[in-house]
Amino acid sequence: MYQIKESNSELVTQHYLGMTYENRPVYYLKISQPSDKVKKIIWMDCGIHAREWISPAFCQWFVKEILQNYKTDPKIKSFLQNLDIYILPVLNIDGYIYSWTTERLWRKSRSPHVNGTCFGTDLNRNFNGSWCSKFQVEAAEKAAVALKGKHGTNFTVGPSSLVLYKTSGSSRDWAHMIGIPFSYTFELRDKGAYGFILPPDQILPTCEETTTAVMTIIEYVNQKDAVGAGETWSCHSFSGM
Amino acid sequence: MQRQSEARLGPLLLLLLLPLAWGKGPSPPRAAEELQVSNRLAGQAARVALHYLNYRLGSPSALRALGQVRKATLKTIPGIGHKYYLQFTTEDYKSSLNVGTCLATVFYLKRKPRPAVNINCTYTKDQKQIREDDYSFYKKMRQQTKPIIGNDIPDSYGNIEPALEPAWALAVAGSSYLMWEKSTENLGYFMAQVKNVKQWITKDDSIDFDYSVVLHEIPTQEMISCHLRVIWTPGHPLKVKYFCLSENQWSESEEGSGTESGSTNGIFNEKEAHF
Repeated sequence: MYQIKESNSELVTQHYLGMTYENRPVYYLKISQPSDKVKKIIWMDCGIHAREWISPAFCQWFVKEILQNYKTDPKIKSFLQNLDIYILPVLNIDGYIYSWTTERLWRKSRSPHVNGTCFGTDLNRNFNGSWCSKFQVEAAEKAAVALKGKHGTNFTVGPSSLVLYKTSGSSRDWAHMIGIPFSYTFELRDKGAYGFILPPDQILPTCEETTTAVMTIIEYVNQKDAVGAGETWSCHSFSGM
Repeated sequence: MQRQSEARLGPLLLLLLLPLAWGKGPSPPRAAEELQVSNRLAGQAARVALHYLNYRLGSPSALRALGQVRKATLKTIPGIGHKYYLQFTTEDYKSSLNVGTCLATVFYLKRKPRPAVNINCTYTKDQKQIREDDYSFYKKMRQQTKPIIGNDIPDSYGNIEPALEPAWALAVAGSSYLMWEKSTENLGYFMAQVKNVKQWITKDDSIDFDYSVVLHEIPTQEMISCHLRVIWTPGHPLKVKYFCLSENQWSESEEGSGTESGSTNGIFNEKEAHF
């Protein structure tokens, strides 16, 4: 992250969010074109669930795409005039490291409970929360179409309680509760054959198709008049959609 | 109920007709509800039907995964259970290429522990090739003098060693039996990883494997460790024994024979892959 910030200092700043249970600093990046305008904000976090490795991979890919192309791609140029993009590449740092060093299929954080006999909170069930505007659905459907155009992957769009399963306390619920008008969860590849343990040859196509989808939504928000602060989403991977 | 011997009907042309079984059956129609194809319970039921199919076919080279649900209807039979009527496309488990369409019913009964499944599918993959692939794996395993062993398949990075791939596929087939048994209307499973495989060298015609597998449970997100014993001869029903470690207790199941609670009319081979 430091290197990205250093080599793109006209656009990128790095910010400290806090410390994890295992005392690791949490940083996020802000991608912002300096200007006098009041900007809408896009927030994207990845890696809330430790085992979903494709998710932090995607955040990294997405940052690279923006920074590599913002000078030449007219769409990116255009939305950076109105939007600031905040990216948190790994939210659950302790869990992520644990899944690399110790247990590949770990999901939660590494907070100790019950005198250190039990570890972890599911970070995406722990938000305060209470839900799908027409614009949100429209944007999501456009994104799914764009995504399919890339590598033919079919994505199902809909309220997660109907399409995925019922949850409470997800970051999306919380975002909606505090008034953020567009919030999405992307459940990335695959559909279950490899599940969380996605093979290397699927990393690139997943990142490419997801980038297309995310860009579609950003453009949609960019064009929609004054719908408030912007949008937020978090990216997961999941076995079996 | 079909007997296993009828399951292999050889290549047949089958026209898939939607109106066929819809709404027919011994019981008078009760509350029947058309579901959206994106409905998670419909997808869930389709997967249960495929677990059953993958187990009954017992063929590592012919495993299928869910493609897309095309049509789904739910009938609530008061006091008895919920019955799903489904039409869905399927993909080859490894390659994700489309391999045909299925019609299935999945009946979750209040008084029975596992879902009752009926499933008919078309198949666009070459049956002869499948039999050859199965047989070549079988032969190789029969010829082993030292039992094959392996760990973490796939590895953390999603790689499966080509030499271990058929053994992994056999684990999927064996796990399909257990996932079918464990599935409920609301709880679904995927085989996430083979932690361990060990072959038993046999004196008879079968090949025999011990597996430790990890199942991913939806929506709880729990990872369930199970021990699986799979005994296989190509063209014969899979023999599966299992027990799973769940939370604080061990539960042991009876030996899998799997001739009740479901039927499949086998695979109807689509000769020229027109559909």
